Amino acid sequence: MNKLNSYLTFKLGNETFAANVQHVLHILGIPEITKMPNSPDYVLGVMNLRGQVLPVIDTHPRFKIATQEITKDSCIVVLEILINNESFQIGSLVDSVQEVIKVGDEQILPPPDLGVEYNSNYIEGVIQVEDKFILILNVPQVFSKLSEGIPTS
Amino acid sequence: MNDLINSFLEEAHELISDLEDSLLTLEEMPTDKDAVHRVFRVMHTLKGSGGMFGFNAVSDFTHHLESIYYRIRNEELKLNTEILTLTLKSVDLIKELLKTPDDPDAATQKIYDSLVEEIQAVTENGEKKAKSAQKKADFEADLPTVQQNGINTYFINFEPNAEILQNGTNPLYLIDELVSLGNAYVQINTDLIPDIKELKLDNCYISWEIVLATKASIGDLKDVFIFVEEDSEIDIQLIGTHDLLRYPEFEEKLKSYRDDSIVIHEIIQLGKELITQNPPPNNNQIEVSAEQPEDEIDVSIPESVIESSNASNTNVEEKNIPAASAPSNSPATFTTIRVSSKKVETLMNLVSEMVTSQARLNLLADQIKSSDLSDAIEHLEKLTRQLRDNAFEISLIPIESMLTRFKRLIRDLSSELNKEVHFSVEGTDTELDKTIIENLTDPLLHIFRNAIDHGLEDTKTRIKIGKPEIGQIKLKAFYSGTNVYIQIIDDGKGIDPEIIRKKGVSKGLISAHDQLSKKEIFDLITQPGFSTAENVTDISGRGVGMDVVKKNIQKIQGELLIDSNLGVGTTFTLKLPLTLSIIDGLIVSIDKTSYIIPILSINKIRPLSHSLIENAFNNSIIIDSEQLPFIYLRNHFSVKTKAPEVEQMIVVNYENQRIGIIIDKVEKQSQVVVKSIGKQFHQHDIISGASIMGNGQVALVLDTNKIIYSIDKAKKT
Repeated sequence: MNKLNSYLTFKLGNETFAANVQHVLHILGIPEITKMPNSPDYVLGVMNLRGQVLPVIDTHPRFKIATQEITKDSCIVVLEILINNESFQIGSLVDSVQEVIKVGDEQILPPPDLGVEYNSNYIEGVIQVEDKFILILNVPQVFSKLSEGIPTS
Repeated sequence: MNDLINSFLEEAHELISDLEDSLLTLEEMPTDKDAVHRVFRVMHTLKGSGGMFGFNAVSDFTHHLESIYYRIRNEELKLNTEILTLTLKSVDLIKELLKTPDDPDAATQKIYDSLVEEIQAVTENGEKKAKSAQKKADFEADLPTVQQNGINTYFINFEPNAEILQNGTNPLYLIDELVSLGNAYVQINTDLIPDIKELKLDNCYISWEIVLATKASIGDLKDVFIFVEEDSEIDIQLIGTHDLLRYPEFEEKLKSYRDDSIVIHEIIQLGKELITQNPPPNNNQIEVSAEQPEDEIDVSIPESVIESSNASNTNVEEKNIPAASAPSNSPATFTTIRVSSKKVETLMNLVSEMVTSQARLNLLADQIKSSDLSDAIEHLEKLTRQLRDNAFEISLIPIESMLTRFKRLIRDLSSELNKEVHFSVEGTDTELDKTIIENLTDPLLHIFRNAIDHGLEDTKTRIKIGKPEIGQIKLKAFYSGTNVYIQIIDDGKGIDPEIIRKKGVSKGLISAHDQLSKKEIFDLITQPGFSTAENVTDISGRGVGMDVVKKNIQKIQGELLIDSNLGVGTTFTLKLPLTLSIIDGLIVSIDKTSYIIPILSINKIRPLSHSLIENAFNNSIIIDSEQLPFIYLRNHFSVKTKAPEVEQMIVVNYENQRIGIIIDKVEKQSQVVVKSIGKQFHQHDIISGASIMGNGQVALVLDTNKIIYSIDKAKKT
């Protein structure tokens, strides 16, 4: 019996991504976000997560997807990431959250050669559902730079 | 199991810190009997729990060490500097051994063996002395024989040396200690008090005669006097088995001696008669009666004092009464409890959230405009404030908690560098937030190191230049406003501004023609890459300079100031906030975004029309005939929207400079709970934190010092 893993799928633009649920803490509607002055564009600012101050990141630029307008489907996915034995939380803006799927290891295909479009480190594998592909994110990799600190602009 | 080991280690480190503290107390006051007991107790605990958790080396080693203090406690060995040094070295070894439960490595083992050898040498030495003491004790044991494990009644005559008060011993404590051992009758002999004209205020003219019924042995009683026996007359005699004070006749007889010395053979005789006439039923009952000795003592002492007060001086009287009425055996009530710091942190977080919710509630009440609701919320707000203040106090710890480490460092350094140092403290009950204290230890240790290594001259030099032989280092702490100041003052050679200046020029920190104030020159010391010590010693000058100290202090929102007079000494002043978590802030806004400026740094607020700012030359403006540099935050934060007609300038202080910060609008003043914005934003150093407002939005806390600093830097480059 192969192990089943649960993934949360969500959309950035037209692309569907999946993140292992072990990283997902909360899914929230878009709250008031306080802009962080002198930050790069991909930093949306900070938000109040139940009394805690949480940085919010726009992940679109990372995948070279144009940032979409905020709609009623837009969500913040709060992720917990462990890098170098230190865990931190971060909110990531997504355009819509789809569902949680259970996938066996054997269903995960190795990441295709995506050319220059994506940094292939960010993609752990691919799941084919019907005629569509879902890209599984290597969550720590995607946010690894943030653990070193967000530069000022 | 791991949890248990961790809690053992935590306890062990606390115990060791206790131990060091007691040892240092003993060094200053070898007469502190309590400290000897504490040392013994700590070692005993370490031995026991060390073995239990598999730290066998700790347990075995402590066993050796403990035997020294066992002998000291039993008066078979005298405490001296040699033993103290040996013990401190041993403590270091124990710390080392606590790092791992495995067998120690070769180097540690070597230290271990040599220390054990030294310890054994000390204890064997003590053994010989103990034997001769035993012989002496054999002589003394006569008359009635001691009833083992039962209550015996003793007569104690204690005539302290007239100068006993001058070396800091309070004989009343000794009497208290004796009395606490059982049931006692105390008689004071005031015959020696001279006429008031001849009375020396700091002499002790009083002697005591005490009849004590106790389970304690003669040795225990002698223990009480261990530190005064050399220059005081102490006579302890067994006068009967059982508790003779139980017999009213016996006490009557004692009272009859009120104006005279107690005649021992008479009371021994009486005791014997009483016991044969009316044998005590058993020891248990006696114990019950022995449990309430205070009342009797309270009555008996003031009586004799009053009687003798005609001849005595009020000064003596006053000294007697408080000690006599001090409860010696008060029931064990808990005045403090230990709570894990995690729980305190949780409490603080909850309270912070409550303060935030309260702000939200206030906002709602304003909107709803119901007087009933407003009343209720107002009441709740009061409670919230009280709760916040109380919870906040819990997380404060006194500066005293760091002292042991400092004392230890100073002791080690002074012997290593052969500089005699007297360390004094003042205001160590000043309290600071736990996180501040935690971040303060290392910078302070560094300053102490500097003071001893570079500040104080060696003994020879000091004598030559006519300074007191022993160098002085003082730690002084005090509150001022919402700040706490900690000063470290030495009376060493001071810092020569000229040398610093030259060095600053040679390091390229300043140019040769820069006119610098004394303060600015001393500030150079805290610049990165500046180290004045000509010789790199083991103690300081290891490349970690004062810049790191300053950085660490700034990290906790503090400031470091240096002042020095050549030849007279140097003072390091640390200005620290009381807390990091809750501040008074001014809420301001720029284009709908709220920011918080700490009230403390604000000097004044001025409205300014936008045109004035646009036309300002070189980012400075003349206000109240003072030229003020300013920073236009809209530009700094790249805000693109249109600025309002009238903006506000917040004038903030930074060290001796003043600078204006221009924002759109001042909203209100409010107490805010500052939260971390996470280390992802550590490069955004002009934002020192964030706070959640009543409406649930996050506002950023501006670090005005950093803003000014960044402008300063920009100007210089």
